[in-house]
Amino acid sequence: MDCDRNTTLLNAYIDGELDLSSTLTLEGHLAGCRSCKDKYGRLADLTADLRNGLERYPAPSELRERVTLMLAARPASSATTAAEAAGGALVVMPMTRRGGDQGVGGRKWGRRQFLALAASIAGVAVVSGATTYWLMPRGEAHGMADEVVASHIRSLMASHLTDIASADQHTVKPWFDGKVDVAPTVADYSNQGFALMGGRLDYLDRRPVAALVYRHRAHLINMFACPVRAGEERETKPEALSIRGYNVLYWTAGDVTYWAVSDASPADLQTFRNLVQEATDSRG
Amino acid sequence: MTDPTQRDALAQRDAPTQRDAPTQRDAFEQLMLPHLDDAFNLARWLTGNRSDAEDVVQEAYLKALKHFATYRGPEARAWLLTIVRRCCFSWLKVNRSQQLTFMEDEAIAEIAGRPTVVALHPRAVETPETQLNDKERRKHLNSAVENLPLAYREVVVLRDLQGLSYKEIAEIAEIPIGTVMSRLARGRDHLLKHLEQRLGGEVAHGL
Repeated sequence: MDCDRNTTLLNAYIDGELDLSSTLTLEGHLAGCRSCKDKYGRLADLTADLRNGLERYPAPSELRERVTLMLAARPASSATTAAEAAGGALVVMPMTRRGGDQGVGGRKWGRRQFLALAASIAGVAVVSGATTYWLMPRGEAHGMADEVVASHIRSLMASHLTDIASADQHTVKPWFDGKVDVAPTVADYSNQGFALMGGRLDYLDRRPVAALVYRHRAHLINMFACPVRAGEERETKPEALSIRGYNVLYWTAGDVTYWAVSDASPADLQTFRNLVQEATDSRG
Repeated sequence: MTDPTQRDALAQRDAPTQRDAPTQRDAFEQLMLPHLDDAFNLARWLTGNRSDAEDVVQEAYLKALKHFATYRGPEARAWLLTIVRRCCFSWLKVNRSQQLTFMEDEAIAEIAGRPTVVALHPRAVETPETQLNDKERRKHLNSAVENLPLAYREVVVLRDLQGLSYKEIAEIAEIPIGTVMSRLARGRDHLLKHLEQRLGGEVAHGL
């Protein structure tokens, strides 16, 4: 392996963006190369510092107000000359436009604009219609299991395995705050052979869910944490399924139903599930 | 937030097509407004100041609304940030054209290879590293990123601050994934070199 050329790979490795076979090759190399290992340590420290130390600038409340007002005052897809003309003024000082109504309120709608708007609404309808169809539950748990497996496969194909790549549960867990309705158990079980790789926001059963990604030897495990719906049981024993060559294990603990899916063996998934359950129990 | 009655009143002024418009506008608001913080953060890092970032973001939302029909989901954040970035670059072109001349990869590689670039906080040289506290380390780190050439700065901010995937960054910055990777690697090398120089061999860890 050419050490000088490893920098790009090391960066991708730290970011959790390296594919599995390159990861394994690189890990093998790191075990025996001091200079690359040193570089890895420095880069990992740097990225952690950047993540924690770089200034995050939240949108000022005035901007939020300006944008909200602008949206309230304007129809969507109004690609008109009037809009272009009004645009410049709006960018600078939208509040002044609320009183007067040249441009926004007094604009006439031409046929072209109307068609553009109608077409765009139709576009949205088609997209949302397709989404609804795709997400329709196809009967009980097996429909859900199908979705879980499909999502697992998609996550492997789309090079979108993680939204937040980190082996640190204290980084991954808070990332989900405000994004999903549940607080899933997030822990790293590296010492037991199941390494946390990161988390991702996914969409299952018509709601956003937390997906956690683990690696067990050469296998990836996606674990989805779905909020229990009203009337569903709060504690269930794990159920195993096999779908299109993937093994699925699901169980409910408290407010969360966990779905683990992987090409790892059913026994490995069971071991994994026990680790998650232990971590859930010790969380109280 | 706008008072709903006021909003209805505003919407009703635009008869007759307004019957349909709110549906799409609501969809736009639901999808795009949650990303306002991310949009502003990116613009703030690219333009370097608050008031220009505000104007750029507002312009970006206006553009996004106009082109919402071309949005095909589901990555609303990446779609919006692509527009925010384009607006930032239009602004930079007018106001900071010298920064854009560094966008060529060759030029960047040349800068990266140079031993010294911008002097970061000259006072820090006199400060013994042992006395550097977290606040100062943080200051160094932020100023090092502020002084990065634009092409590095944007990928570092998108990745390390905003946590986007390489694929999303490629989409937003309109470059191939391979370029995302090499710019990140060079940008971080650049930062390591600077910070280790400034902080006496030890990077600012422990923030």
